[in-house]
Amino acid sequence: MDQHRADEHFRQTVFEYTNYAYSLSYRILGNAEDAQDAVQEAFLKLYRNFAKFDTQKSMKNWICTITINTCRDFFRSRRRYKDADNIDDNPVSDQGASSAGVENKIFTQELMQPLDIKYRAVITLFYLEQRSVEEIAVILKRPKTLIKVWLHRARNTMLKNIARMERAPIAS
Amino acid sequence: MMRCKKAQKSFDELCRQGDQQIDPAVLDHIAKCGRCSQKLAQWHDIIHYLNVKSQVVVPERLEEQVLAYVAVRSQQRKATSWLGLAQPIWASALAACVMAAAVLLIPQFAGNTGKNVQNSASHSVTFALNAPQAQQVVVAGDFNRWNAGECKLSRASDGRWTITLALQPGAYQYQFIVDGRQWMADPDNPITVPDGYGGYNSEIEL
Repeated sequence: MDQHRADEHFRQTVFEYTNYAYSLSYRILGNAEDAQDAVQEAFLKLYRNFAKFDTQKSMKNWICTITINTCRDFFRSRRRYKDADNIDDNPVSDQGASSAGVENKIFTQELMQPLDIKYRAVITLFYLEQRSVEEIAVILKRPKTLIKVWLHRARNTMLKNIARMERAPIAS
Repeated sequence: MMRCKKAQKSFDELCRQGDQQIDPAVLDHIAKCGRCSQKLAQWHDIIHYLNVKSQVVVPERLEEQVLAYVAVRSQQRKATSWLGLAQPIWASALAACVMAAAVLLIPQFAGNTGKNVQNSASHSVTFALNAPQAQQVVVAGDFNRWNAGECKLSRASDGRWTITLALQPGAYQYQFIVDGRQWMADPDNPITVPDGYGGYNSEIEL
């Protein structure tokens, strides 16, 4: 009976947070196929540890931590085995979206792809999710000072990328 | 005169909350300092690019795919432990095939909406390696996107490492990773293909 209740709770959690986990994975990994695989794997880890969840803490933060760790593992395995240029299609373009969709993809990749996985994670959490440095430190289990350093480095790299993109506009 | 470094520490706050709660001295410095105002404009560019140009479209029915994946993979782990580890590899594989039929229809996450979790026909395959000295053995291949941390084998008392996976029909290349550093093809599988790194992958076809 308890197992049934736990499974139902897990099912509700999946329906509540899958979109969030996918968005996070997609922004970190930069392609739809890997993001989808990462989300599945992240929820499998969540399921296996579901009983250990401390209900006093935030489920969203926990899912965020698991998803980022899973993305990191994917990134490492992909770096070893896949050609770095082999980026798969975004569902935006799969659905026959406009050239604006393609442009978005190009700009996002130009900005995010050169960054290391940890920098992509802090940029996503800080700028897109509007989280504080303190929250990010808790999620990534790193000191606040290190998060600030990562943000600083990521920002500088992105500023350089923007300057480069402005000097040489991307052909559509 | 305020230093640029101090003013730039307020950039994130400025971008997030506007200039309502910012020290007027900082705003005054940015207005007068060409370098800081240029950098602030670039800062706005970053946030603009990220917010406007990184819209994500979530695939339809992803939640159901996630539930199906979790159901199959979690049952698979139970099946592996139930099979026992002392059986010969292909006997285990055969037994696992029978087990797979039971694994395929898993109602555990079917909710009140009546959505049953199902999967198309798949094969259960047991990967095994005889490595009594090893501390850890992992299998990585096309089926797990060569993820070296995903499929850890379990050690039997005779030093044989095994894992049973449910795989869709198709051809898969794989290697074992012993103690996290030694990649090797399956010595019990005579079918190998070059891995592109000067070595060989083992291959199975289901």
